[in-house]
Amino acid sequence: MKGLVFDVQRGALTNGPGIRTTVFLKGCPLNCAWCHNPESKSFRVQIISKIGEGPEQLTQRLRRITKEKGVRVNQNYEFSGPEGKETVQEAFTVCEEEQFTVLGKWVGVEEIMTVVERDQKFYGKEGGLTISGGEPLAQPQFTLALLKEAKNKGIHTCVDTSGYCSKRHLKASLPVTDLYLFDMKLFNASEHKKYTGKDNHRILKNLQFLLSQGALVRVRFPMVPGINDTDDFLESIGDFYHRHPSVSAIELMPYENYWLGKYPQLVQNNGFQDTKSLHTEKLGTMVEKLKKLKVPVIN
Amino acid sequence: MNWAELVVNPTAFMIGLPGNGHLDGARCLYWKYPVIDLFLTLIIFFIHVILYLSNLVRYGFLNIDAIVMNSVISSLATNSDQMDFFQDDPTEIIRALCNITELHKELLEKDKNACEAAIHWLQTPLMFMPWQEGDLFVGRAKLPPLGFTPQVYSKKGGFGYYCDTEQLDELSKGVSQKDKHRIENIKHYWEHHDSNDLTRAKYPDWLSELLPSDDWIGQSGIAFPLYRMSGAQLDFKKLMIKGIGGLQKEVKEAGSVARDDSKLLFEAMYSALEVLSIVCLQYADYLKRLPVSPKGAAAGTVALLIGTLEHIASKPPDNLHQACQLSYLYTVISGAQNYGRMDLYLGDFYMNDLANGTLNEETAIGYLQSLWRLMDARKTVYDGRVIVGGRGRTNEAAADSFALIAMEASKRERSVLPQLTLRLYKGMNPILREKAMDVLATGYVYPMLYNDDVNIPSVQKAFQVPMEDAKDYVPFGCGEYILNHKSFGTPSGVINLAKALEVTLYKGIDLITGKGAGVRTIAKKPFRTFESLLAAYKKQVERHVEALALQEKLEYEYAAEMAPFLYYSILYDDCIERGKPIFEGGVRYLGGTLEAYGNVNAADSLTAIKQLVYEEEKLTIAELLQLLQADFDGYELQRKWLLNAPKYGNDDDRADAMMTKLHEHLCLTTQKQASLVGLDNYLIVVINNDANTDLGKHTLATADGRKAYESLNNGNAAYHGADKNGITALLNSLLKPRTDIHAGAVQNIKFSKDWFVRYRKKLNVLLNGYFDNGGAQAMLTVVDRNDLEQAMITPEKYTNLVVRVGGFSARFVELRKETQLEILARTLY
Repeated sequence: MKGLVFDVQRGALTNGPGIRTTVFLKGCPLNCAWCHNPESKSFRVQIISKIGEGPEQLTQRLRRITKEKGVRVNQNYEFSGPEGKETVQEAFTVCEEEQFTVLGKWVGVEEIMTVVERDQKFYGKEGGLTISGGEPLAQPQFTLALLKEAKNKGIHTCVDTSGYCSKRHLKASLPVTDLYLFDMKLFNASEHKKYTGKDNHRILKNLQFLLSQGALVRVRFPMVPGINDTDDFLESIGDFYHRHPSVSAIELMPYENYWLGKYPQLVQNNGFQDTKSLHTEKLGTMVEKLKKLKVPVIN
Repeated sequence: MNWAELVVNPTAFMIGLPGNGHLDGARCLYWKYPVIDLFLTLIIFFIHVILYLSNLVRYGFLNIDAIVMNSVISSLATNSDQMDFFQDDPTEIIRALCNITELHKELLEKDKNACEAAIHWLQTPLMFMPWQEGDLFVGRAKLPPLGFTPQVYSKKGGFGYYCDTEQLDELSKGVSQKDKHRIENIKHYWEHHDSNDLTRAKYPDWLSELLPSDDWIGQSGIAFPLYRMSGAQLDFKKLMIKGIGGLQKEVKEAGSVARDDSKLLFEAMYSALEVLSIVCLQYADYLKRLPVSPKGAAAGTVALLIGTLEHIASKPPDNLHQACQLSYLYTVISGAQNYGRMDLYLGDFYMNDLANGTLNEETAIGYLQSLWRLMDARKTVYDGRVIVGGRGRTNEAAADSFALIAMEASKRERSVLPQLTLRLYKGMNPILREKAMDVLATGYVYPMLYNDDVNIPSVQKAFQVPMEDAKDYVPFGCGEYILNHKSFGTPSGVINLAKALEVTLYKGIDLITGKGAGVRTIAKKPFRTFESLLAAYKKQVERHVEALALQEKLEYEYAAEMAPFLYYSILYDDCIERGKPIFEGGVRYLGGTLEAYGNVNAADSLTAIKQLVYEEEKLTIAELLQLLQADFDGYELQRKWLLNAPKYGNDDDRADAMMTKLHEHLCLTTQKQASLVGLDNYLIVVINNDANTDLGKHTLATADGRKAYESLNNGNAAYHGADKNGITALLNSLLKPRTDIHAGAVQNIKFSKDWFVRYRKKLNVLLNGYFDNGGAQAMLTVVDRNDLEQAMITPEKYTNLVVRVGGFSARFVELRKETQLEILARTLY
């Protein structure tokens, strides 16, 4: 069983309790304007030039290197190999990775588990494996297989989800997930659709479902300047929490413009080019405000 | 001042009396300095008579008790103002230096015990400096321009009798022509008594060929000798129990039943202790006669010091202040640079003082801060260890309390020295480790952490000693272990493994000097297989390790011939019992250590060569040599290949296996030499200092992608910026090389401040994972402003900096420059 993974972060501190190994899966059904992992959106392997080439130039160069006419990089930098050679590894026999960056790699459950088991000694009582993305449950078989393997080894598991996934898969994940990191972006359905491409109906239903099943859920809110960094929104969070008191904790995720440093060519006019990161001081005030509203915030 | 010689060596006097030798020496002094104090002349006459009698006693002609000898020394002690302390008149100093020189000339050949003892009498007054207002202890000191010390604290090194020509040149400025001439004579004499040269004179030809130079900082080479008797860890506990008087009693009693040659040793020890006693009394006297009477707090300090000094001049200490003062003065006079397991020997005093209400915690911290300042002023930056914590402390509760105030003193003082070291173990009082983390969180580099649960069994195996001895392991200097006052293991050699690989690749030619070096490869087209290259490299390393092992042994032999190293021998186990000086059969375990540098560069280079040349065949050996010689100029793409090859520090088995295999080869090769050259142990140390930078300056580009002349890796850490897989991957790599085949390896691990502040609990979990799984040591440092400034200039060397944002994925190095700078500025500090 293989999944399309774009990063494995070892010794992660910010994706769940304790020290964690976070596996980032490629592909997301949402298209959040402020997304800080632009390479996580596409479900396909992408190739980015390190010397500023656009998709056409890149396609030509790759064809020269591989001497294969079927190689193509589309407008979204998604790679398609020649017939019968679907993966990058198959397409390139020569290691030329220094001239472009390959985003995404098909990785087996065992390969991930080797890393996780090596890191297990540093997990202590709280740490473990987090599957993030993209949307982990958009690659359900792989995610479920990985979670199952981890649980078999007695490793604590977290799923960092957008909530936009099938209820069936969510249900299947329940017995093998210790904690959900559940992202909530906006409460207003039309605004949600405006900024993420989808309304939040399914997300809210999925959250209800998880809570009804007694799952441990930590709800995470990205705090994005100009979008939801308002007192009103904090009060909505307060209301939300008190309507869902079985949510284990609330976490605020301050917006950072670091995506600009990664692959800006993957981002088209998201309107955030000039948006500054959320001030640490401002985050502090927000946390204080939530605490006053008796929200168990864990920043 | 020749009386000193006579005191310590009555035999010399006996020999000298009927013949010319000794008295000529004496006359020589008189002749040069005819103005001799009448009082001193009388004293000398008195001594002559007494000594004559005491020698008759010795040879059984007279039945007078041996106490006569002591009465002589006592009479000298009471007239100890004849020892000219705190002298700053250049002419007087030059006079003393001439006397030291004359005594050395006269005595060295006759009796090395007497020679060293006499020279302590003469050099000690030049060594100690006056009390400074604000100090709660005395003992600020500097090495005189010449004299005796186990370790000359300079990069050139040296041990035993030394002459510091730079200081002499300084002294020479503005003195009379006559004095200038005297200085020239002194320099001329000492040129022929340089410990480095005399050790080297013992080298067989093959050794000189493999170790052609001593200048490891200035010249290119694979291996270099180091000259010093460094790393002594003295038995301060014994000093605390017995005091100067008790030790004198012990050596006197030992002398009374000893064979003749040992008798001379014990007399010399007695005399050395007497000198220490005089130092105490001289300081007390000085404080009583301060030109300006101190006021306020200073008056209290002076009174305290006078009481302490007069007490410890003969008696064992009764309280913490006295104990600190005595151990410090002994360390300084002995020339030792490390302060041992301080909580073990000071803990009880601290607890007693607290219990009887004569001291509170704040005052005690103040004492230690003052002591720390004195240590710092010695500038022994490669040493100066204070060890606290650890198994094998008989007074654990008291020792723990002391360890806590020691850490607090360091936190407040933030001085370069001492290098505070905390030994950790399962079941220890958890407050100690919490305190250590608090101190480290402030951005201070100490305490360094050592894990007893790994180190004790490792030391037991590596040193092949009983568990009880292994429990008393102590890291000194830059991280070398020895057994507290039971073993000696001066690091007397340096090997640059990256250079060994470089020279091997060029078939035995050092391209920097253009000359042959080390083992030559004769084959015209060598290294057809990776195995043949690896074998040639290993042979290169083995040959140099053999050379350095013999060098270590020869250095000890010369040290033993030269002097008994009295202050070490007094406080080192077994020397008194055996009646032998430390390096002449006295010490229980005479061992040695070899400092290895460039280990990670060599390993990563071989990993890259294996992959690119032999497996993928993207480069030939000839092409590789060409691009290394060109320092990658015009070969940027190939350099990227080399940089992208697996690197130690990423939990990558290909790179880590090479590292561990080479580590094992080096360590076992080294360990094997001990029995071949006649040492009790001879072990590798992979330590942390600036030698990696110095040696890098003479090392061409390496196949791991490192540019020519850049610094080599530091200790056992991954090469700068090579660890890109996160902290757990790095720690997993660090856990792989064996710990039970060497005498210490240092891991310097940098953490951003948020680990210590926001994620402290997680940091503790991480460290538990490391220590519980074989982590031997950790130097934890917080990324500081200096690091960040460096990171802004060369972000590629800071790839292990992590962007800590929930759900965010990015390696720092992959981000664009502007974002890197923003992150550095915002997140990591």
